[in-house]
Amino acid sequence: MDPAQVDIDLMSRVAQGEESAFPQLVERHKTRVFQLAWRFLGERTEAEDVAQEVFVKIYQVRTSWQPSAKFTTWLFAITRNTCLKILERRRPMVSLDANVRSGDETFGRQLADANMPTPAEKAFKDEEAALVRAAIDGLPAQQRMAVLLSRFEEMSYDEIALQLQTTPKAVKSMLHRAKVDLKKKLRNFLCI
Amino acid sequence: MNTCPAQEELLEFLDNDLSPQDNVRIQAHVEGCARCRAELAAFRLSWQMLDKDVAPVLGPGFTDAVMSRLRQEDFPISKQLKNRLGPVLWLSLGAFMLTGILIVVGLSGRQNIEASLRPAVEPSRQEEARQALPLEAMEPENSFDELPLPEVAEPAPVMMPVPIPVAPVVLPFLAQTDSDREIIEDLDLFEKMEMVQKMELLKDIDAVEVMEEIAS
Repeated sequence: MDPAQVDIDLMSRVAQGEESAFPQLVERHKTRVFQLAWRFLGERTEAEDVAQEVFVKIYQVRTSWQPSAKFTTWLFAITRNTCLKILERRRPMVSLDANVRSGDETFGRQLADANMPTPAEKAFKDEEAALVRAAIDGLPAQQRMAVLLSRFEEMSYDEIALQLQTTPKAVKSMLHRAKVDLKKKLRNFLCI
Repeated sequence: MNTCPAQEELLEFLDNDLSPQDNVRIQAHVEGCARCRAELAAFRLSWQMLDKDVAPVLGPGFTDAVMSRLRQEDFPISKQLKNRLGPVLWLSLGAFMLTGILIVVGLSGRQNIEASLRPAVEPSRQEEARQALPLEAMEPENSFDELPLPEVAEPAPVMMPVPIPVAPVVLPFLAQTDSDREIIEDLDLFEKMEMVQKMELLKDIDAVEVMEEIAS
């Protein structure tokens, strides 16, 4: 059966009061929701909280759910909104953009101090992951979400536009700016 | 082709968003331009490099934790509504309570006024006043200044009570029922009775003064 249809069937059962269908729905989507939140927020505890919050919200509004769109569209919209709320509650963070402009050496040092510090003995792979994380974190929130939905959820411009409540043209422009930014930040670590 | 395409065009080329003609044009340029080839590779690799940021995996207890939280919170309809309405609900409740208190206070105050006024007017006096002073007979232009005084030499004539101008004050929201109208009418009568009593007192004083003058 089409995965989208499976989601609709499960959610319809939940909406009709069949509580046993809800854990199945959570199982199907928990990883995607958690990983999107983690990539967006860069913090595991917060990402877990977001994932829980998302499923609680879905359960709360189950009776008013209408299968008018893909379940995942709705799911990611709730995830995005919950992530943005967490982001608003956070203290203002130092932008990485300024460090990038001041030179690659400073950028590298900043990355070592980022949320995922790389110990000296850690492998190049881990360091690379931290660099990528920092580059993603350095993107503005809207651009970051567009990148994550495009890269990891393989959404089209239209689908992302629906999520971000904007036009596909704006999404395209947003993604292009993000790609230019990412290329600039990661250039020194690319083996070209 | 000598001029390198803009970054925007290169990105569209990567995304296959160009028209077939533009696609061929950029393809031809890139094949002959090392700089543009490097740019394209940098875009492609930096995009692919995002995969290096491997996300952690959720623990096995996540679904149970969600279900447990749902059972703890147990969202009945009332709670959902309370969550949704939040401050609006509390403000509305407050407003309702305040309105209720004001209505109760207003009604009890009105009943107290009625209760304090009713015993002051005896039923027989009310009836007398009603007969003597029909409401239609009121003439607002009359006043105390125009009261005729008795002649000194003559015996005091029998004075008919002079109608006192009392404009009935009727608040529209209070005069909606027959009982309300009766209450207002009674209040009017009471005021008129008071006036009549005062007039009689004045006449008595006048008579005393006249008598004193005669005696002196």
